[in-house]
Amino acid sequence: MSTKGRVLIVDDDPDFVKTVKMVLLADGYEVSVANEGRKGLELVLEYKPDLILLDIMMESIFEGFSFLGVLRTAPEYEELKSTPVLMVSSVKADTGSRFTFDDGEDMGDAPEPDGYMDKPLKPKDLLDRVAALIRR
Amino acid sequence: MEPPKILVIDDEEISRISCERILRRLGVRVQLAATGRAGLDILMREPHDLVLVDFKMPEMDGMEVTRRIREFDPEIVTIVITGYATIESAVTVMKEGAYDYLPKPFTPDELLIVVKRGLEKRRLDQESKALREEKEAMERNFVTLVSHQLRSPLSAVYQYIEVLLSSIAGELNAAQQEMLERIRERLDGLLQLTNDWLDMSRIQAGEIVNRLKADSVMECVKSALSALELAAQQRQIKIDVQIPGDLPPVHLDRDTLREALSNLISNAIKYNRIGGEVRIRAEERDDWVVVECEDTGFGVDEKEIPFIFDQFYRGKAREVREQQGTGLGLAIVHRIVRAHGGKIEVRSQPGKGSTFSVYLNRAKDNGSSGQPEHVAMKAL
Repeated sequence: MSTKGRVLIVDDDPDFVKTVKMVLLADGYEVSVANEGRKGLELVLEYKPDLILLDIMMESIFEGFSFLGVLRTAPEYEELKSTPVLMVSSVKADTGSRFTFDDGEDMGDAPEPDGYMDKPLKPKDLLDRVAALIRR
Repeated sequence: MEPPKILVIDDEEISRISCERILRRLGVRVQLAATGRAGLDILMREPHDLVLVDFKMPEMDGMEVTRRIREFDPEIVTIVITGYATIESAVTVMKEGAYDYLPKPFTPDELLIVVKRGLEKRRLDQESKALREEKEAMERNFVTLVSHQLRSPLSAVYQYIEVLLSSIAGELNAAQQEMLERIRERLDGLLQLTNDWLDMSRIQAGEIVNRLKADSVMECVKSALSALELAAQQRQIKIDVQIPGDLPPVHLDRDTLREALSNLISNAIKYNRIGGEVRIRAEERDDWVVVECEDTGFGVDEKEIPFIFDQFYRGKAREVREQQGTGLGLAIVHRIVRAHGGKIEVRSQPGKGSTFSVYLNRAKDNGSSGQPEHVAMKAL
């Protein structure tokens, strides 16, 4: 089976997951889903996705960042640590109301995702970003 | 959870060993040190929950050890064992920050009671500290959390509509398509409203004052404009920017000032006639740098001018009502400009256009650090 690539969605909002999954499947991607960070990390090892679509706020408000921290630094993820990560959140980026990113004390040296998008995602924008990140 | 760690500092080997033997019954980890200095070295390397220290030791006595522990980490619970248990010595060590003292000789039960109580205090301290930190984090991120709670459901609904409109879930007929597009438009308005409202609560004058830096207005105008190009194209609005290159820097906070300018320019585009013009100028006037945004739009009725900066106020004119808006844009601008220690003026002629002038504090010539004190005064 040839697909455009494998995408892992890590998000706890079932409606978000469902709609994004439909968009990605319709465009020829394979999709796998985890509804929390820990399960997502297990799936990364198992599924070896070409891209991870990662929500920031799940059970805890920085869960996405913890996920990313483990992925980028833990020894068992050595081979997979450069998997592109597209972070999404419904907390708007450009209003600055999204956390206190420039507050070093708060975020420490939080790992950087490869891309960031505000929810709601428009299907075309999403597909463009996903394609660009996988091609890279 | 890890068992608590206790450090016993005593120069007499026999006391150290017997303390250790008794304390093991509590299921704790025990380390021993024969001198105050050795004990402090252990504490530096490895955090402990509780320290039992003998009062009378050569070199560094129990009092000195207690003092140094408090300096190093006041959260460590220190219990002093004292051979000559006078009230004075007890009071003295408590003053130095010891949590309790235990007179020699003591029975195993007496030791256990004091230590258990000390560990309990330590546990409660740690718990309340963790709760306090959590509460502070919640407060710090309050706007973020509210934003998340409000926007998440809207985003989910929005995405369903997007998926339906993209025909992934099947073809729509024209009427369905039109209705969904209308739903999406209304939802856009609602998302915009939550953003604006959250901006209002985010813009705390005090915080902006702390972030003011001497900086160029031009950069803010540029970044505000870049996000508005599309909107201007859609209404065929020509944007003319005239900002002299030698304009002095002003005390500004880039993020919020850009937002204020963006709201003004966006209004100038939105409430303009198709094919109209927006002119952005800046100049030095006394101690101010004035940024002006002039449009060729519907204008504001003189009677309405006192109200346009109020939250949720929207112009009465039909042309204004036809455009989607939240009534918060100018209120946000006003708040941001005030927090910058500046002021805003409006001149308008119905049918011809409006000019909004933003007055910002010119930074002193000697450069980038600025002296925000006087700005803070004005912002109050």
